[in-house]
Amino acid sequence: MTSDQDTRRKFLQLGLAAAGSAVFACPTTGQPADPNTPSLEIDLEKWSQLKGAPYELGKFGALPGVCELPGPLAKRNWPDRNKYRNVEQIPGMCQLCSTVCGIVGYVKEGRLIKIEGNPKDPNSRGRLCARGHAGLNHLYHAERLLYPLKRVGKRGEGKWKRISWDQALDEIAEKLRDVRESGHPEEFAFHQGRQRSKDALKRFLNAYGTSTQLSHRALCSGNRRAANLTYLWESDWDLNDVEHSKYILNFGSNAFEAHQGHVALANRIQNGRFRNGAKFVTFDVRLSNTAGNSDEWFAPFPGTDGAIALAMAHLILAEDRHDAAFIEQWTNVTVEELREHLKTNTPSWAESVSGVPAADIARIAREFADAAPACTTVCNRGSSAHLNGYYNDRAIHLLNALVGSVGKRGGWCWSPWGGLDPIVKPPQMPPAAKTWSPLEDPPEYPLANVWRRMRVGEIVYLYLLQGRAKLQAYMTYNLDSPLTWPEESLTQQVLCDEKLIEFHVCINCFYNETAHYADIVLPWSTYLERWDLDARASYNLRPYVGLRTPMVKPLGEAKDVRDFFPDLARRIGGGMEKWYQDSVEEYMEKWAANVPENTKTGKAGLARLLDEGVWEADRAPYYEPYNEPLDPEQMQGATVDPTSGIIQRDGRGIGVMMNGKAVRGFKTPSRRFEIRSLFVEKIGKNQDCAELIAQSGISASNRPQQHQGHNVTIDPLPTWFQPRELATLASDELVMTSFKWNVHNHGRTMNLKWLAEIVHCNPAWLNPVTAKQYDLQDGDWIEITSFHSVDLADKSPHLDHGQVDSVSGRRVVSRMRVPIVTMQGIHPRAIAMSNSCGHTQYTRVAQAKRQSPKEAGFRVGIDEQTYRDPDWERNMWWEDESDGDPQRWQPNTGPGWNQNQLVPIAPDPISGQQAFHDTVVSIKKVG
Amino acid sequence: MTPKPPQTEPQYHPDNDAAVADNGMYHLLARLWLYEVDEPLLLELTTAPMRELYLAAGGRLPSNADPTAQTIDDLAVDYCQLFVGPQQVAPPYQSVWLTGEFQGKPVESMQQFVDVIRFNVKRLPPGTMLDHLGTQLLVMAALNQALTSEFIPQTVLEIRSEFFRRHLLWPERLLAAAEKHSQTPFYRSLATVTREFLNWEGRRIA
Repeated sequence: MTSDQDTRRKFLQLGLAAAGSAVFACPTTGQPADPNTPSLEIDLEKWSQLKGAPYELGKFGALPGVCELPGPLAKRNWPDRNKYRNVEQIPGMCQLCSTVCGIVGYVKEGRLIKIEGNPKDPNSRGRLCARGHAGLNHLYHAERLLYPLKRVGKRGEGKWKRISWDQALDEIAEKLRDVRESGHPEEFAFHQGRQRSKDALKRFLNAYGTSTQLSHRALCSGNRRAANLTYLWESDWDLNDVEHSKYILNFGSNAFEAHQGHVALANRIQNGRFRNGAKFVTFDVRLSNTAGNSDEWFAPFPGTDGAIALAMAHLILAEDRHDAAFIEQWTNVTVEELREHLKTNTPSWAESVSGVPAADIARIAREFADAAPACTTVCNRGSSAHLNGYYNDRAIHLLNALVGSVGKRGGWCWSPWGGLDPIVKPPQMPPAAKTWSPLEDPPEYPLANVWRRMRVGEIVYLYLLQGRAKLQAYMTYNLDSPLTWPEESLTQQVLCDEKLIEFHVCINCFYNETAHYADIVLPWSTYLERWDLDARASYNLRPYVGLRTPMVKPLGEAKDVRDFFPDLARRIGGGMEKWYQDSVEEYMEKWAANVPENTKTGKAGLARLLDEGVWEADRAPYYEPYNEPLDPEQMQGATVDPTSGIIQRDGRGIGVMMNGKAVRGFKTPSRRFEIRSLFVEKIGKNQDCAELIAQSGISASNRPQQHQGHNVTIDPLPTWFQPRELATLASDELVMTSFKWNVHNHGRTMNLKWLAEIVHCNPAWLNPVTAKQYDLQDGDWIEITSFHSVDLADKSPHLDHGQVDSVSGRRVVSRMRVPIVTMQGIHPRAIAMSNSCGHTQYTRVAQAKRQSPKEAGFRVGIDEQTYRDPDWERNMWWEDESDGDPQRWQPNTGPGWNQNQLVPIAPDPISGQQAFHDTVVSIKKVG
Repeated sequence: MTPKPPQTEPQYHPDNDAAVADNGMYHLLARLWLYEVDEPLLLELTTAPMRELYLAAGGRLPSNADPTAQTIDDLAVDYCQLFVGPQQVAPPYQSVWLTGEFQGKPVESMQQFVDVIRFNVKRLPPGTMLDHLGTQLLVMAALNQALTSEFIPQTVLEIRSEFFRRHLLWPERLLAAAEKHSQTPFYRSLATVTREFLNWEGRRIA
């Protein structure tokens, strides 16, 4: 053992030697430990305050973020009245899901201490869900990425070293320059997950010269959007005016938990019910929290929503409960045509495919029609994420036209403002790039890109594997495709292959499953540390603008794309740099310049948004826009077609004559609500649609050169079919469905402990009847085998891959073992698993596994060798009911399972929407 | 009202060399904690007399004494997996170990000390948080540097003692984690040397 003297001597000698060396200075500062500059200025006044201050920096046991109730004798001191003294309130916009609620951050001494909803936000009205509150976990998570990383080992090996931003940007710039100079700029793909900086991304990609911008839209809402567009053209998003409704008919939307814009919608649904007396009826395979809170819930066989809707339509017409005037004037079909078209879609027929009693279908149809026009349907992924999802949603939306609730107060509405109020415009953008890639615009899917760039994200990795496209450079952004994309193993395989993806840069706040397969990882600042203007389609039916602003300085070296894209553009050069003349603040000033003055405060533009967080246009809600008269100025030089009444000017449709008046009409080719869509029929056959597009007056893509030869039959009328494998589902097969909890989004929240404490695991839901059939009880384990779609094998042979199972003769996607939980709240022929679980990266919170007491030492869940987070001890979210008794220990339910191991790549052949809810599986008991 | 302390309290320093040495030790450790090893540093460490002194203090050096790119890369990888990420098995931040998240009370306290001694935070590598162990070692270096003058203020000694008590008694579990998870003898020994030095300093000044 060394003595203190020995210790002193060796440190004295080493210290003296070090003091004489300049190399122990920090390399970035070059300031040596110079003993000849002993100056130290001391602020004695501050010191006198500091030294007397109580010493409490936190300790194990002081639970961050957990209310510590002090007991009855201390109530007068709790909550801490000084907590919010001298707090600055800074507005922002949440980004922990797709809803983008306005928020207010409470910042004290440079630290964000609370997040609340911004009551000035016209859409969310100050409401904020659990995810939004957990933004604090997101911002201050101890495993956030703080520095650029460069891969050292093999891709996917997980070996990294820190590099400077300079080095990172130099290497990325060099690669992107090479790609552009190769003559194939389209081989640089930008792949985004949830993104709310549209202008910044578009600016960079346009300036660079690639249009290969990939997204997840087809994994989300492609069919709903496509169905809406067939009817409306001007909007892909129905905004149900539920607050003023008398009847809300919900087909599979989980509006209280996960619908896009769910906070605003859920609030209004409840207002409609409890202030306006609306009835709320839900059809959903699973008893979601929305279904559970409905007045009535029915569990149809998966994917039969459209059949039920058509049967309701049939009954409404059969019993003359329809709005004949609306149909005749404002649609492009007649009542008789519809009756003829729907004659076989009786409630009895719908019962035969859905299992929902015909009497209930008929009764609900009557109730819905009787409430008209203050009635509306609601739907989303529950009906649309199917192989027949396009037709499901077409059928559902049809109901609104039949009863004349389209565009009416309390009815089925929409707005042309899917985002920011149109008066705010970003500084001049570079012209769009004119490249083409099958990854961005796959020619097999006729409706994927005609009105909007919805793309078909789920085929990206398969097409790369098939050699249909090549990527020299791949930049991912807020994307967790190995977790959220179907066929996890295929995604991993392609991301790992340096021949298929030569260079991968990942931009993210956390090291997720995508970052694991990157070559360079860039630390992204959180939504609480960066700038944006943001808004989504508002249920107020008028546009608005919200401001996302840095509430605190970014931690570490995290940066937003707004910060480093200009620098990267300058390094790439070749003219890109000219599109980046402003600082971020200057850019924001220009972008928000048209926000009008608040006469009370005298503030306008960015200053007003910094003050209030949001601005909403003062205009009437977008009710019945089709009845809006055209003024003489609009009519000047216009021509009217004597047969159709369509009004055109300069070769483009602007309105329609209705009852002798010139009105705007719908922005479709017929200027009517297009129940019969000639456009989709022609697009499916790759026929020229230039004339129809001109009549609509809306921008849409005629078929490009790359789509020649395309041949998909799309029924122009609302119809319904059942995918072959579901129509012939064997008695030992089930249909797998997925769902989202109210505290999670798909891939970005399981690392947040406040949320993970609530939901951290996803056993498979089975109906007790089904469980009995397999001799299963709660907690038993099953092996799930999933199969590729038989229906798609016929319709989309280009997708063909996967091993043929020797037993079933079918192509198997994967097998996975999971425990089950029995629930009355699920259809007996369905099996459900939530998403969000099953992370293999994304921080230790997301991967937290239950350990047996023996393994863990003295308490479950603690790794003594890593930092101790008190929440891990007190709030163990992996339900331990053993009370420390190893005999009562259950198998580890860990962080759950990624259901996407089992889900095949299954795009709807019409729109490309991923059919997440149609996977046929077989199960067997194991263990 | 608290009486203002006098601006200076001249006091003869009996051991200037010791203060210089302490300063050097804090600088050495701060440098190793704040940043990866680079070629000049490795060259210095593997060359006499530093080599012998560093080894004698308990440090370990790469078996391949040549400061090759591979050696430096190996050390950078180990530094990264320990202290930077992706998983930061040994996050060198006081807040993380005391509160389980970034930017806790220790940062606020560090800011107060930084303000008191007017420590130039621009000396830190970009993005370095104030409660990084390396920052704390650098602040101690600055305080010790002030002690190398012929006449030292008593206040500096007070500050140094209080600073050490608040900000350099915490790292034991960090050091244990670094020792456990390090993949190179170099970083394992960095944790060991740091512990021994801080323990010695703790007995001496805290």
